[in-house]
Amino acid sequence: MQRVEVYYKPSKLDDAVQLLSHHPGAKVLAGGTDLIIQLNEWTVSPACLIDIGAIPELTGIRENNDSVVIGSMTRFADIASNAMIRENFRALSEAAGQVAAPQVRNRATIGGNVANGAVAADSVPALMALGATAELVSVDGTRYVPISELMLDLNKTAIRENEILSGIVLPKTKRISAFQKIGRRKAQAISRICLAVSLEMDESIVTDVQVAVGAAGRTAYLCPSVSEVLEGKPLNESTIEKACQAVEKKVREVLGARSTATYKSLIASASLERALLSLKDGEIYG
Amino acid sequence: MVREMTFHINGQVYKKILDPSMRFIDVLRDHFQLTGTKEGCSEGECGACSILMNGEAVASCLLLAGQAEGAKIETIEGIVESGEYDRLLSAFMEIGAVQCGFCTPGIIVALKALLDHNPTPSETEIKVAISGNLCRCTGYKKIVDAVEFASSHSQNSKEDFALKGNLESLKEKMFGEQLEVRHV
Repeated sequence: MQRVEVYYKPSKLDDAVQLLSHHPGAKVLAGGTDLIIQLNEWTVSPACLIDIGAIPELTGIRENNDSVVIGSMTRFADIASNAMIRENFRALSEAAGQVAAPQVRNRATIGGNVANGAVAADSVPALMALGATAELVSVDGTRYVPISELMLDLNKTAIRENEILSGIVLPKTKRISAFQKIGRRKAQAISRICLAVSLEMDESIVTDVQVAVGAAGRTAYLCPSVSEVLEGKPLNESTIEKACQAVEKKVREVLGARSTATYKSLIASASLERALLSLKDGEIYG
Repeated sequence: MVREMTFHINGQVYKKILDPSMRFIDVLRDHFQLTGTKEGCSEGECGACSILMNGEAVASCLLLAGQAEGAKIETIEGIVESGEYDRLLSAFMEIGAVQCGFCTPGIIVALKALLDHNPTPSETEIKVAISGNLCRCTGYKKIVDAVEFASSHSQNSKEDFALKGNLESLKEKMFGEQLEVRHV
């Protein structure tokens, strides 16, 4: 049975953007580890597929003066094994290494993970906590949207129909970061919760902190109430406890009357405690 | 829309008229009769459909023909025919790492990706390498044992198990009899 009418595999981003503007309703194929399941189950049936896997400019990690740009087609296997990412953006490195299993990490891309908008996408809380921005290209030009504003609802992002997510921009900072994921098993687990923290310290005082939670609500989100608790204070038993209470309250609010609210708010709190302790003890930097 | 496509499979170049939006597992099984690659879950969870793409393990149920075109593809048939992994395959049989055999092709593929750059892996490295493969018979312990056994013996050492007979029965388990081409 014919799955789609046309399959394009352009070798330039400009061509891909033109194709997308001429084929409304076309699906952009990145690694395919989510989309191909949907195609196979006929839950999506686009007339046209635009495979962006042969566009060299979308692959790889580039370092600029004040930022690092990860091409949207960069695979999780490559992100997880990149020493510079591990050194400077530890939360993302950890998240990338915990996505599914080797067979999937060898195909799945960071752009696909973000653009798909899945609730349990592991990279998304890490990117939010690290202050990352999405680079979106269309025939109208290029625009930049913070990842924290990109996620609108379940499987819904602010990426317009004629836009291709071309890269993820990570600002270079002195932040240290950590990532925690809880699933039903280690490999191939869909996160029950995933949580990322990034923070900046001046001497022993926390000057800036961002906590993002995924898989607990319709999209991943930042938790400003946790930042309020920690900023201007040292990391110690008492401030960590207050931060954990704040994240527990936030997750409970978001989940409301859902049956998972008690469980997820508790594991969010435990995950934040683990993440903050790892940063406090200086075991994990980056 | 079908078109002529070029595939590099097990060291050979093939041209076929196909729809590039077909899943690559269907290309392998239905158009090349390479039925050693199994379809389990159809969603990348079980690893039974693992193949090597440019030397890396990928799930062929999560790969479209258009994505695989031009890449260097190796399937379980190519790995077995090469003869380079006879030790590992025999160890699988000897140690009891194969029961029903359905997951075995995918696990051998995942292990080749590991062993090609790390011939003497640790237990943890073996477990990570096969973490994307489900086996419902063995409990994994015997699979890890078999890899450790095979990699701890040098290729030149005298065989201490019956290589040939084991291999034939393993091939039967993995490939079975030639199946009728499935119509899609």
